[in-house]
Amino acid sequence: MNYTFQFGVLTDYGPYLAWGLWHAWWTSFPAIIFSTLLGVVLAAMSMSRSRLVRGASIVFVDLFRTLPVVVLLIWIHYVLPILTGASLSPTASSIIALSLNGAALACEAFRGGLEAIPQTQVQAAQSLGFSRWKVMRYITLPQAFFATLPSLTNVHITVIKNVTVTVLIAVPEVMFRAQELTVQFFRPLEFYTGAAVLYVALIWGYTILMRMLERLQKWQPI
Amino acid sequence: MATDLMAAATATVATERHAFIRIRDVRKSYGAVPVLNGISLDVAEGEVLVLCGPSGCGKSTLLRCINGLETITSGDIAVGGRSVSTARADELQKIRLATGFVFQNFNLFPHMTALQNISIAPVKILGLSQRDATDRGRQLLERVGMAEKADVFPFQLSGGQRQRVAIARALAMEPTLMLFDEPTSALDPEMREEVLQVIRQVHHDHGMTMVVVTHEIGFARNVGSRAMLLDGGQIIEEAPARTFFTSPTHERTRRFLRAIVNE
Repeated sequence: MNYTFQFGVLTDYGPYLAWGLWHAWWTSFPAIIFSTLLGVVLAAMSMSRSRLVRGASIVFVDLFRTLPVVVLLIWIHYVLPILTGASLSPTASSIIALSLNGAALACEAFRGGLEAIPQTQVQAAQSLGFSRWKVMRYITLPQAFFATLPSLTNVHITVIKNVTVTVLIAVPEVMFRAQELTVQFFRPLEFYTGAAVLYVALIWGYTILMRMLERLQKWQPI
Repeated sequence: MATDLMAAATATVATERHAFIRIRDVRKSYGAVPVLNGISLDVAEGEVLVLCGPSGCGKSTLLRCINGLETITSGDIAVGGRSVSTARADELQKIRLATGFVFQNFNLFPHMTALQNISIAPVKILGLSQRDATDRGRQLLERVGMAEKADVFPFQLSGGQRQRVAIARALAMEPTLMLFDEPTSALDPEMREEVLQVIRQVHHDHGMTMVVVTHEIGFARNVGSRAMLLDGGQIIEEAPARTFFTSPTHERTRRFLRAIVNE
């Protein structure tokens, strides 16, 4: 191997590279929020008495869980404008694609959490006069939330990692900048290693936040 | 003859009016397995009915049917003049509002403190203010001897304590009917008495209508007004509580009572 390391380029262009984290975060964070909210709704729908509502949830989950994120992203960014005439910014397209994929994954996580709540909890609430909706709102969902957190963290990590594919439609996040700088300076090792370190730091920081959230649970299941 | 008929008719009207729970030829099966085979009974207002029977005899199922937690296959159940079996979701909710249900395994909400367990339904269902519901909750905790455990989560409570909170939770809705599904059978012998004491107290203070599934003979004899043995989904014997436990007429009842005494 006769590659000369020149990590010095990172002192000059590191900040430019690192600034990509800002874009990565502001693409993945809304996607995390949307996918979580949509995931809760889809999971609640999957428990509906109406076959139509349940079916809609299953179709959504199966469609967006099976669609590769790259295909979904390209389709939303380049095909949707042809069909609708409305074009979206790269960041908007990315947020939508990551949210749709993340929602399918989050739905499955929440469904697992909801199904783990014993039916006796539902009966106890019903016997007090809770409607089906209020049982979900006050009894099963709050309990499922904490049960779901560890798997929800995995979903969020997947969403953040998927931000890297937005390089394909030129969202100026870390990978895009690393590519840009590599082409300019021919230092792939330095810039791509820098990108790796930055993403690891971002995701690691996020998992620490989620672990702190897990610790907010003061109760234990009985 | 005519007067006899008149008298009979008046008597029927009278019992109909006082029958708080009215159960007519109720049948229930899970798939092909029959659980209730034509049960008919009335429970008058203020009466405490004790249901006994071997496991699998249908006593818990009957109790759950009264609250609409299970749907019956045929027949009719009415509580306070409203039919449970034909009720729509919102009507069923009204019936449940007036009925307290105490479960064998307590079924407290694990993510809420003892006080929150009690105050959530008054706030979210009856529309009480948080403050009023909290006041009511604290009073009830006091009544069941759990005042100092208000801010404790269920996992930190013993079985007997959990059941006392569960009773307070049911009482918070100010029900006119209480259904107890083996409230002490999941408890250690020492904890049973503390729970039975609370139920006695509730009965003494409110005189509300109660249906209790239990094998606690002493308790059933003291508090119960009527007792009943269920077996194979049918009523085998029905008598005033005292007679039922001291001089049962059916051999099946005698056998059952001997078995639980020897337990």
